Amino acid sequence: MGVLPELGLVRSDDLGRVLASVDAEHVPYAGGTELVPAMGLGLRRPAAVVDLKRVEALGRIAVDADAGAVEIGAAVTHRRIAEHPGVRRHLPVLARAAGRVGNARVRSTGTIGGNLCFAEPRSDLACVLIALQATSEVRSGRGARTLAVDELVIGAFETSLSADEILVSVTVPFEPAGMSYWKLQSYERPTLGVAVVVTEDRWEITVGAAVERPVRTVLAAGDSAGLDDFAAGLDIGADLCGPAEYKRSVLREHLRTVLETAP
Amino acid sequence: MTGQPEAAPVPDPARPPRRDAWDKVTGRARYASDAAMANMAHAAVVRADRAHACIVAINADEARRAPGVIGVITADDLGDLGRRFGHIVCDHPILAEDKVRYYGEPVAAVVAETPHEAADAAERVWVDYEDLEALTTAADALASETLIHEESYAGPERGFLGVKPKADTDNAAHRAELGWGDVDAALAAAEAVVETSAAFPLVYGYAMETYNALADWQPGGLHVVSTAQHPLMVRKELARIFSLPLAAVRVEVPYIGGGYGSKSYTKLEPLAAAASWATGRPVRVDTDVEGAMHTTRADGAHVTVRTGFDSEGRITARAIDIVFDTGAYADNSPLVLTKSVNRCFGPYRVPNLRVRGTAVYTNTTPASSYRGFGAPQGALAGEMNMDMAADRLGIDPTELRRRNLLEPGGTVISGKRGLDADLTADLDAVAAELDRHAGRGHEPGVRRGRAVAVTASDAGASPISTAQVRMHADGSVTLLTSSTEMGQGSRTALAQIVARQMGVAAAAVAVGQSDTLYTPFEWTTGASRTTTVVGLAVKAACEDLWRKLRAMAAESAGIDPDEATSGGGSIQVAGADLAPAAVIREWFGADAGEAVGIGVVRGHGETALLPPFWEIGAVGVEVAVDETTGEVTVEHLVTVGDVGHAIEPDLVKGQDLGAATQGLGIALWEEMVYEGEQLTNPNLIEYRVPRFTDMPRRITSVLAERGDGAGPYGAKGAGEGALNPVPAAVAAAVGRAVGVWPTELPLTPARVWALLRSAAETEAAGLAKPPTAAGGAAPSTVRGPAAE
Repeated sequence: MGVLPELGLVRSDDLGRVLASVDAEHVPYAGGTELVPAMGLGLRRPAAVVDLKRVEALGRIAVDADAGAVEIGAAVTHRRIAEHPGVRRHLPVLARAAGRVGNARVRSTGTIGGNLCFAEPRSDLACVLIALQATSEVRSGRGARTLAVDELVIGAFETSLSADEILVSVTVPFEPAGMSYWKLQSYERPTLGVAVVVTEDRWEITVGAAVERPVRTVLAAGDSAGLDDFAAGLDIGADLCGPAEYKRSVLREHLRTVLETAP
Repeated sequence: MTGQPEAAPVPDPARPPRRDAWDKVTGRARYASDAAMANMAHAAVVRADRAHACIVAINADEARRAPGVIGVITADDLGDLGRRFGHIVCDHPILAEDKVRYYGEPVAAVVAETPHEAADAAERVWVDYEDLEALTTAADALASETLIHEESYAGPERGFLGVKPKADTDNAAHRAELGWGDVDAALAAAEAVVETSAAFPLVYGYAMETYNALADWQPGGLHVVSTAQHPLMVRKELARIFSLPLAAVRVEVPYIGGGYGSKSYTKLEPLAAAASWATGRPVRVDTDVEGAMHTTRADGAHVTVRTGFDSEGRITARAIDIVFDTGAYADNSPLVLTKSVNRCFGPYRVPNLRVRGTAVYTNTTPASSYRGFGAPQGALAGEMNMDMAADRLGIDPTELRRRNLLEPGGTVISGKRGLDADLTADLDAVAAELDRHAGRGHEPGVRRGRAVAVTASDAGASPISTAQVRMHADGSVTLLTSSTEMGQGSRTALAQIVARQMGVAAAAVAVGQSDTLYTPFEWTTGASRTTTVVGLAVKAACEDLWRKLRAMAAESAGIDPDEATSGGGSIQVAGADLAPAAVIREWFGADAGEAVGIGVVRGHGETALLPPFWEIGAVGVEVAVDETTGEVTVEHLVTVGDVGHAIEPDLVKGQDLGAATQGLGIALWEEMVYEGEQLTNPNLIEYRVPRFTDMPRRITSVLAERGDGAGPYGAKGAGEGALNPVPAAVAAAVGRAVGVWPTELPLTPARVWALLRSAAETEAAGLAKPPTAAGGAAPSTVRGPAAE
């Protein structure tokens, strides 16, 4: 059904008022690139949407050189992340990934918070942020809590947020040396995303898109058998992008190229 | 002397090259969905949620009580209206009667004051079904005892263009055959027989504008604004359904936001009109992409080609079987099938031929016309077969085609127009361009392949067209035509013909288009016919206008009409050179009035022989295949637009590139995927159409202008030609790159990966030699017979 149901709009620049409004029937809304199609398909039927875009705290990007981290507000668009000098300097892999999300229209309206909270498995940012061991700040009328992005995104279209909580920001440690992100994207969303951090003695690997939620593992450098086991053990799903064996084969080949044949 | 001025086109810097450019880039262009009528209501369609089932009961009480609802219409509410439509086979109910035949079929329409109210109430219509066996593939439908249609729709006066509904009842919607000679004997005697089978996917003819219709029924008349490519065909069906004279049915078609054949013939118009009839209000019916994918698609196909060759590589016989997956209703598929039968064997000398085609009803979205009209389906197996044969015979694939291509004037099908094209020259042009930019050297992890393909289609549809040109008192001209503008640029090209014929600037020509109340009869807008067939009608109207002007000038001067002549953009009377505008003013005795010319085309004179022209497709591609991911990159696309004469070269190139790009979509991405009874990808996130990033890395668009067409100035049509051979060329190029011939499209990364794996297994087992030279021998290498 292409016709959106009529629905209410709550709009405020005050975070407190926004938090007081959010519940199961009044859902947070920023770029709408995930929520609006879901409403169009009748999968989500909120009574009202609560606009987050006017809350200043949600739209900030702050580089904290002392802490070695960048804090990114939940309502920051992919495009701003991709273009922000501080992000590009300290988190170049994230900046590039954000610059290649979806299409130009999605990047200029879609947000990092919406991307994480919708928890679409075929996503780049969750994979990159989990690889970077980012944390998230979550708030509700009841208070605030901080948790790893790895604990925020817990399944396909599933987060650990309660209905009255919103994601306020993500804090991302500066990118370590030896990090890269590669994706296979033949369709509108990625088929497979692979983030790796290679150090002298460790291989850190995070796989997204082909699995329900990103999976991260750390292996001793050179542990090819461990790589085989990791790739073989992933619960990879089949969909219109291809069968699981295809995705697993591409993953294994990619890991071979970036890890085992690296100079 | 009655010669027309053949003035050169007048460059006009004040106008953009396209008449619709300003309107479209500023967002001012009006489409059917912009149309509104006073007191307009909105319908939401309740669609079947299963593929094949009897309707036990429809309960709409709750919906009728919902806010804003004016009425709920089911098949039972249609009174004495015609219940079904279908210009060939009248099998398509306006709303499902007794049973549903595909997932997404309209079962009821809820009419409400607003689209929201209609959509909300539509969810409160409850339908009880009793499931029947769902036959979602042609093979299943042919094998099953279950009938999708229990009755025959045959009868006197039924059918269209000699294509008649079948008298028997089985799951075949239509059968068609063509042939000559003794195929079995020729195959038995052949030096080599090469067989190819290929599956062509179910494709949705994606257009940015989805189907919509607005209808206002009032006693004694019906007014419809819709997205119809063929407004006069829709008018005819509506007149029958509502028992109205043709004149009482007005069909208006503003700009169409992309058609590609998918908007030909009748779609939502009867539903909107019936809803208006039932409620007394003007009613609009809209679709989103999902609704559009549940309205029409292209025919899927399984095609098997067997070709016999002699020792010199000459075709001795072709035997071809075509099975179409036509979906739940016939729509235009019987005609598409007959065209596929005519087009599948290629523009080759085929001394013995047998083609058998069957269009099969299935419990899926009904199929109909789509750009290429049966040609791409047939060419996929037919042209891949030539590549496989080239391999088998050890002959370069371009050379193998050269040995078999028909010469200009050659007979494709006996009794039809001779081939009005030089295919060898076209193919040589393709091969030369492919060669010129042949791929770089070896790149690890990447395999390359190149292929060419050629098609010829009996295009132009029926040569029936009328046009009216009205010259005003200042010499400017209004052209009236019912040909529709769907982005192809017909307003621009037709205005250019008027400008040339009348010796006026293109900016002084207005085009009024597609409103059956005012514009004259047009058969269709499709089959790449507009420039050729409508162009001839426009040219004839201009000739008639000159005749009228000469008569007016002669009458004013008091001389015999034969004593007035025209030429060079003016009328000559008694040694004086008169501007046409002056002739009009003098005749009316005021600065007023106009002269009107009427042009008619019918199966007569230069359009007596069918087809009006053969539409040529001649393309080449080079592809790169990533060995790890199976992703295919089109490195180079070459198209040759063999159009006789390009009236607007940029528009012709735009048609070729657009058509080829749709061909690439079919080759690499597009497929409606059914899982059980249900379409699993009814949206543009999962139904993948080509994007800018998919465009070939290099595109070479060549125009071949040999003046060999029957249209104005020797023109022939463009629009479909460059699509037809593309899926075949890509499949053959990927086959060469990978080492295994593909058997189904689209060649998605996962499918190509599977081909790579099977090639690796074959190579490892040393079982067979893969197709020659992955990206190796240039397909255009000319080898003389002595070198063979």
